[in-house]
Amino acid sequence: MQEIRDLPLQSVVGRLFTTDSQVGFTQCDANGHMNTAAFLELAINHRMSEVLDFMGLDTVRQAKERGIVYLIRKVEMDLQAPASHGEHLLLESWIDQVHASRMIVKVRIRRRHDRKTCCLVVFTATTMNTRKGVLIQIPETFPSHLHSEDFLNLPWAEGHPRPPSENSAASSK
Amino acid sequence: MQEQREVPLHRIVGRRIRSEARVEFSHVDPYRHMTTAAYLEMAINHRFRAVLDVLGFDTLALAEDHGIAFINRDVHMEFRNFANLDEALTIESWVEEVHASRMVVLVEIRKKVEGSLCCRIRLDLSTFDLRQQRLIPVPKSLPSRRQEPFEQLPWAEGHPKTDVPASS
Repeated sequence: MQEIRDLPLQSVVGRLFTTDSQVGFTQCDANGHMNTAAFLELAINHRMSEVLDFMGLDTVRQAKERGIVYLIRKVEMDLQAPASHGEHLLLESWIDQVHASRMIVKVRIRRRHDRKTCCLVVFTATTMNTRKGVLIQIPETFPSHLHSEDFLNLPWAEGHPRPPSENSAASSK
Repeated sequence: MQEQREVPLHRIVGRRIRSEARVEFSHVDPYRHMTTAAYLEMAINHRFRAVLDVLGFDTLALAEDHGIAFINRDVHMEFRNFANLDEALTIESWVEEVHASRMVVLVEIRKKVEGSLCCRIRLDLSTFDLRQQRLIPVPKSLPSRRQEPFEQLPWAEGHPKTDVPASS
């Protein structure tokens, strides 16, 4: 059985995860541009893959075994430039802030050829105990199946690193 | 050819359009909750359909014939309740505000049985000239193939507004 250990969530705040993608046919609208929902789906899938691959956090397993799920409570999308069929994209994401009751995750989607930002997505996530049906505090640690903390070698996102106190200083904003 | 008439955009502000949907298998995540992207897709598809069928605005023809497209610039989504697999939903939308350079559309997705709100979506739209590749002011009117008046459509909450919002 895979060994699981708990790692501090603060250790991944501000760490920049990057992947590539290409605009697929079914992601485009009738005008040939990537549609808004496809940007959102891409951002979520990218983030969930990163969480699994680089943090070693299996959110589906955590939901089954511990009854804890991460919920998206709010989404803000700022669409700045179109992406067309076949275009190569760069996806970058990071946990920007962790507060007691919510966590801010940012995902930036850029066109690879000119690095122009197509879309910036800001997620506000909370945690829920599905067995009790109540919102709970964001856990200070996460269960990881990784044996090494490679994510500590990942580059910093813009504005990071910040002292841990500042990562949650904006909680009242 | 279908007869068209110019409809001033301010006449549709606050007019509520309703449709129904069901949470399908491909809409849910491994927790069996409707996914965030599925809400947004549902809202956009509802709005496109509403604009075409109820208001008579053919946005694809507008893009092809006049090179004008409505594009999403900002999207805000707030989640209040889960929608589960196979659950029946109602979708309501309306134009909340029209400004010189943008238009605000609100969409609410509710559980059909209990009426509780699952998701509220605010779409900030601008108009884009596809031929000149630049943003243009929101047109004051649009060609509609619908001959019936819009007055039988119900008002959304907070409408009709007597004060016209300031131009941005």
